[in-house]
Amino acid sequence: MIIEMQDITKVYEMDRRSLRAVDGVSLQVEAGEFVAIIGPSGSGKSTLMNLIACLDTPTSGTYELDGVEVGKLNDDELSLARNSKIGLVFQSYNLLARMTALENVELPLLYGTHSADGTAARRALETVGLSERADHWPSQLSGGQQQRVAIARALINDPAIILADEPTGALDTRSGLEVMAIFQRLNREGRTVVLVTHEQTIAEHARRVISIRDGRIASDEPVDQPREADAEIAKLPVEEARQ
Amino acid sequence: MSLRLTLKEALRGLSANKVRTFLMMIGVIIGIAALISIVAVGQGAKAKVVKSAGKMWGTNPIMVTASAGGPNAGPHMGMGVGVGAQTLVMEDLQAIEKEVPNVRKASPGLLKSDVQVKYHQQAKTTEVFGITPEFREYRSWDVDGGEFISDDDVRSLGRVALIGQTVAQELFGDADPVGSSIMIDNVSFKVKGLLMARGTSPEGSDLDDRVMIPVTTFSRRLYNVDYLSNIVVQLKDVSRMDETASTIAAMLRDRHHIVPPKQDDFAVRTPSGVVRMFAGTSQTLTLFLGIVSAIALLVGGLVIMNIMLISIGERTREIGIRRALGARRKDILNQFLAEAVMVTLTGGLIGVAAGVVVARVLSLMKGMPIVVSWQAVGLAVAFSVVVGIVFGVQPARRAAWMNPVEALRGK
Repeated sequence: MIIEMQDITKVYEMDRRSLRAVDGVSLQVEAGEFVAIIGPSGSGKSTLMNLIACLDTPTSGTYELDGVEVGKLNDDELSLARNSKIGLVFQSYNLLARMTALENVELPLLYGTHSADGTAARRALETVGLSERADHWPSQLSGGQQQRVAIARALINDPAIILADEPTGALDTRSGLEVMAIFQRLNREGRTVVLVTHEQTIAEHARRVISIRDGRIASDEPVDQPREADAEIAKLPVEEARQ
Repeated sequence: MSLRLTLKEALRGLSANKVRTFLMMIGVIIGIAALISIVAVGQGAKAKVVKSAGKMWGTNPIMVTASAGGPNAGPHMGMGVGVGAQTLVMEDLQAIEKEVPNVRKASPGLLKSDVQVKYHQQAKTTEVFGITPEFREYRSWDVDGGEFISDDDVRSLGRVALIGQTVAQELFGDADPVGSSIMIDNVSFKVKGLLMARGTSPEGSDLDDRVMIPVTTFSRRLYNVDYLSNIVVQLKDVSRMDETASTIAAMLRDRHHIVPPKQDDFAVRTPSGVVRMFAGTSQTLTLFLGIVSAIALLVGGLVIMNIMLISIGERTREIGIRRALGARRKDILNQFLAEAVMVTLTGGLIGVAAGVVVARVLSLMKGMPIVVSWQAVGLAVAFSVVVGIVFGVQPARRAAWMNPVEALRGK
């Protein structure tokens, strides 16, 4: 079991009111799954994502990530868990503007135990089809390319899960599908992918959809026939600029 | 994260905004440049004092002088203090030589002012010193012509004299005085040697206006005195000078039965003490300029702190990203601290160079001697690092303690 959450709550105290952003969530994700967490804004899915990402700790409940009890970790150990067990992909790519694509991909290595000699980063860029762009600055890349660099960065430490937060939110349809195609391919190759989104069609690329409402799991169902991103791209009208 | 990578990251952060980085540096540059030039000028002045004090004092002896009115009595530094005071005796000298282990040699000295010296019809009033042959060594003062006073002269109460350049000039004009007979207080002496020119002492008296005769001749033949004006003590280990000086003072106090509140009837002086005395006069200036450089460094530090706080505010997102990717608080702290120290260290090095230039210009324009020592440069560099740490640590801590979730939401 990669993710094992038992009765997780997250309560924010604000102005004497307490907000239960996550309210008793129990969740299991096994190795090799492709799970989408879906919910409207304010449903608590972002809070849940932060908890899964070890960016935040729950108010109560237990969370085991790849065999480690996250609630018992101190700040340094949480940092290490983020570094080694989780590959984060954000909606807004979050690349550092002053680093080349290659340097951005290598960034997590600075805070880990592996050495950054460029070979692992080049391999990761190859995985997302951007080896040619290794020395480009983020500003020289399209949104889709930037997001692929971010995915390469998420892969560099060979994490237990890829955790993507609205990864297609800032992209056009084609770039979004290309990103989803990469996630689907990574999942076929055996990686565990957790995707947080508010779009039903994006969520349907996963093999299991968990729906969140008011901080609770409203439904948790497998997807009978996941959408195939590659097939969808093939059906898109040919775009002149992309040939 | 390794030091090399931390520094690389810091450099990347700084090079992103070069104007800002330069603004951060400028206070440190000014402060360190001021510090370096002050120290260079100050040490130059001190070296000059040491040199001129060395002219009067030789290099390493301790001088014990008789005095009636406490250690600071007397118009000029020990030499004249002995006039009239009769508190030091030969037994004191023997005790110093025998009982203080670090003493290599103690030599007696006597002096009398307002002595009339005559050559034919030419007369002059000068100072007469009773000395031993060791004088030549401990004062590094030899004769220009003729010979120095010898041990034989001392043993035999020889009526021989060494005369200073001023005395020679006034009595003999341009003629060679060596071998001539002069009268000192109506006793006939043969001029054995002409002393080398020494010029003016630090407090302005003419060092060449003197006559020197064997100490025994002075005390037994000429004036019949049983006291000493001074005792010059040469050491085995010069590095223990201050310690030995205290030992001698304690011993003399004991011998002279001096207990507080009674004041010492002698003074023990070391060249370093004399240098300190002279250095004191330029201390006010040094202090003032030192405060200026301290304020410049303080202001520079505050500017660095402020700019760093602004910069950290602007880089909240970056901090969030780094934290999300696994940077520990320590990594963030080190990164920003390294940026601060890199700024101040670079500023410090530029400041050192600028300070040396300023000092050079001062020395060229005003003719001031300057000394740029490694210690001063080392101190300046250490100072700039300290400024970086002191003023960088608070902004760096703020960066390190940001909540990653909130930082990711930031700019």
